Amino acid sequence: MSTRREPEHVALLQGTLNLLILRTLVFGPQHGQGIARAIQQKSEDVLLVDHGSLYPALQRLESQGWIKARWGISENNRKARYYELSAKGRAQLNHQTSDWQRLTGAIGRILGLEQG
Amino acid sequence: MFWRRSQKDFDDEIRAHLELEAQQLLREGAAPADAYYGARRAFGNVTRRQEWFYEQRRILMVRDFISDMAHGFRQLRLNRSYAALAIVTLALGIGANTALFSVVYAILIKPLPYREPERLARVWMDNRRLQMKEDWASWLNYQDYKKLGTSFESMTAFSNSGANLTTDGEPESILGVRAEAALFDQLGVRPHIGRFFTSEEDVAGKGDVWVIGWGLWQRRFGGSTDVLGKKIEMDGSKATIIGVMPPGFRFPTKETEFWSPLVVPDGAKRRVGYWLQMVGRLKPGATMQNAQTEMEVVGKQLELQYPKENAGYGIYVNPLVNHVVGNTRTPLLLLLGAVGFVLLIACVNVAGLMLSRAEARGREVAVRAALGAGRARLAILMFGEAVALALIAGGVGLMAAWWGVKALVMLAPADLPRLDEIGINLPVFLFGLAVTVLTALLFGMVPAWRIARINLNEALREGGRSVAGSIGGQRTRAILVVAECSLAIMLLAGAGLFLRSLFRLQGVDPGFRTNSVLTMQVVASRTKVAQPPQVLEFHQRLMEKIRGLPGVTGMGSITTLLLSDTPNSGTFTLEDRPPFPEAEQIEATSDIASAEFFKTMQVRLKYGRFFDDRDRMDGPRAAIINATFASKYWPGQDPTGKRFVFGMPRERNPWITIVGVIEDMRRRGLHREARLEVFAPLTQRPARGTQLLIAVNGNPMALAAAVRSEIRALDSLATVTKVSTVEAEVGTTMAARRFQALLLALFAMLALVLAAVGIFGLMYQSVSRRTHEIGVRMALGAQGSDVMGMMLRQGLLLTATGCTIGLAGAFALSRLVRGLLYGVGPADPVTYVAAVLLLAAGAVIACWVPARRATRVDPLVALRHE
Repeated sequence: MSTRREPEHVALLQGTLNLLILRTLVFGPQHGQGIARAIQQKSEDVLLVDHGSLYPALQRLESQGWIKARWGISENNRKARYYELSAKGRAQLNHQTSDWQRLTGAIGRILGLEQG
Repeated sequence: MFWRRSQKDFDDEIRAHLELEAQQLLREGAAPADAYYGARRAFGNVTRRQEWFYEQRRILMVRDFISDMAHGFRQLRLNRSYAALAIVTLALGIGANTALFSVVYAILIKPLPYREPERLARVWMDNRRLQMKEDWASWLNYQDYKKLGTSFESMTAFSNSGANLTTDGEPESILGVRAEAALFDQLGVRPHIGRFFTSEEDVAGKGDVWVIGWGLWQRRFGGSTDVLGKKIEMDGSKATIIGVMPPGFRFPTKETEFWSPLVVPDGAKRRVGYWLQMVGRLKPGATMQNAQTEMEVVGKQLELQYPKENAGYGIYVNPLVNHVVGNTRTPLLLLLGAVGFVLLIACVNVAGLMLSRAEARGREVAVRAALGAGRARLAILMFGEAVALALIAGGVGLMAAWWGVKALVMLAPADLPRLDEIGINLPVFLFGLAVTVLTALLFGMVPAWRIARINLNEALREGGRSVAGSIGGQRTRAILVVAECSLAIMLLAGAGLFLRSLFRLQGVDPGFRTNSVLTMQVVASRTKVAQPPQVLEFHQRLMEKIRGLPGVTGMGSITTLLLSDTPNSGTFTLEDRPPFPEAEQIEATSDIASAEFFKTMQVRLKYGRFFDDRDRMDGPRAAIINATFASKYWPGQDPTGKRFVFGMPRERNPWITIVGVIEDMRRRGLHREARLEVFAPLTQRPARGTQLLIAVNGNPMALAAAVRSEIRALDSLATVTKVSTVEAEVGTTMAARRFQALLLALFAMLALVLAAVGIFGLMYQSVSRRTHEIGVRMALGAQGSDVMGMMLRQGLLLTATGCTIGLAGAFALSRLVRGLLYGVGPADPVTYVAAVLLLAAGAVIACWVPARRATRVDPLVALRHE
């Protein structure tokens, strides 16, 4: 089911979903469906996110205190659970982002894709 | 936190997500019919997410453990005989442990009723001349201890005292202390009513004030507050009661019933004359070790400074708690350890029972696992049942403990410290609860561990059999049998050592008659029996009267038959050798005995004669010494006619002639050798107080009332106490040993029965699990005897392994109790062999019955056996 794969899609690297969620929430509170859509659009539909797999990740982030949740009303008047970045989450995002950049930079250099 | 989030909240969120996604898809131009399915497609498996959330909560919720426990209770209700066996086993263990802990708590753990009791210490003169570590001190030495002992914030002295109460009812002799007024403040106690005496009242003439104990107040004054200011008469002297102590106050001993000012006459302010006991409070931060080290130095200094008086006298600091607890610590901890072993065996038994149940449920467990229950979850399920069992057993056990405590208090020797404080209280209850939980963890662990290792594929494919008969199960079972045997052997050997000690001790010849002798302590009053000739007359007339009573065959008297820890004693000089240098001086005890004492008590004469009419008041001073004394200075010789004195020979301290030597009497308890003893004739040293020994035909106690009324007729103010028999008095010196041996034997029997039941159960399971295998063997030609031999061999091999481990353990542990044994070594082979034989007998029976069952297996049935 979750292994459904279409040619133009790339499966997520393990652990990167957290980073993507935190990054999406930088622009303000968002509900689960909004986050899923945002990740899909930003990645220009390259990354495949099974919407359902978002929820365990959201629970984990919430229990770690990186994001906070409360029920609110969506733009089209639907009750939805909104997630918001906490101060701790923001710090975590900065930390993980720089980690990620160093990692990809290093891998890129090894693969010879990035010059100098 | 997220685990507080309800399932509904999570479901709502997912529903919202799906609707938002469907609306978005509509906006993006999807057909209304497709939008909803599109949203679900993008989401993936909705039910799986919901289940995931459910499971997440489940592990974390205590509520689920409770539901497991409820499941456990249901299981127990369905298997009543299994549950009953397990509960009785555990309840015995928990009950016995809790009951014994109540004793340990009251005696060893509960703080003494003083302010910061850990800083209080008894300070003693360490009398190396008499090998008495706890001897009394002289006034001037005490003053030096106080001045030089800088580890102490304060030090106060007191001295033993006694009084014959002659007002308000029957004359009664009671014990008390005379103490410095600072004592109460030092201990940090308050009177129940009234006040303490002050340091101004420490002066002669003003010191006739008493603070009385709770027991005396209740017994003699009915607990009335009128008692304050009341004048009491004690055989000629008077005192005023000024205060009453609260119930728990028993300083320095539980026999102490009054406290009055320590009045020190100038004549007593000397370097010699040892009569003071001391208690000190350490400065904050000082340790007992510091204090002991420092006082040793002080002692040395005083020895050098006053060699004549102090040579051989050091100082010994002992925490007050040790004085109260006495020598009960090791035996109590030993008993607690023993009862802990019983509980362990009970746990092993129940673990075995649960193991078989877990294996019988192998298929159920496998199905649960296949349906998604995690291994941890399954293990917790087993623990649920274990906790359910333990809780019921704990409840039953606590009730059993309530009775057990009553039985223990009844059986306990009367001199057990703080006996009246023993009971089920909060700390004891909490201990019982902790033991219960610990028990559940212990015996729940085995089946839980086994469950977590079940091979699911096999369990499901072949049904219950392969799980049940698996190698792992057999090995676990074997370990349990070995554990039970080794624990039981340790208890049996321990109990054996103590029982053998007790029997050895009972076989010891005390050196005097013990059967059919009535005894009582009599003190003639100062008022009616004033001068020495009158005292002598009192004794002579009393003897005539009592000898005239029917059934009496003889009567003698002695200061005290059994020696206390601080007997009347002194150093001495022998006429036929130069005075001993100070460091070599030793002391001999001194008692006053009537001429008839030795004959009545059937004491054996070694040399010379007993006292007789020749030993008159105006004649030369005579003495009888014991064999230990004689053989120390005149080995192999008859010393009659030799002369000695207590102290140094002076004009007013005439030589005493030895007229006889008696064989040793064990007057300090049967387990202790006699030391140097001297007896003076009553006719030359008339004493107002003495212990009567009345030999009778028949029951001694039946004569007690008649003797008492004869005493009253001679002196209406005389006090009569400690009415008993010699047999009982000697018995009390063994009471502690008897108590220990009895309890240990009880625990060992319990252990033996539990272990036998456990081995039986485990072997029985083993046979029934191997029915199929046995069937195959018999089908292939094995005879019944072969099968039986195989099963027996297996069982006995495990028993033997357990015995070996147990013997090694017993040997190691018995070294710790060496000091509690009498006449047997810690490695006593007889005891060890007996323990092994006893356990082996139990094990053979426990293995034989299941093995018989194995031989009756019909191969045809067995092969079809699932």
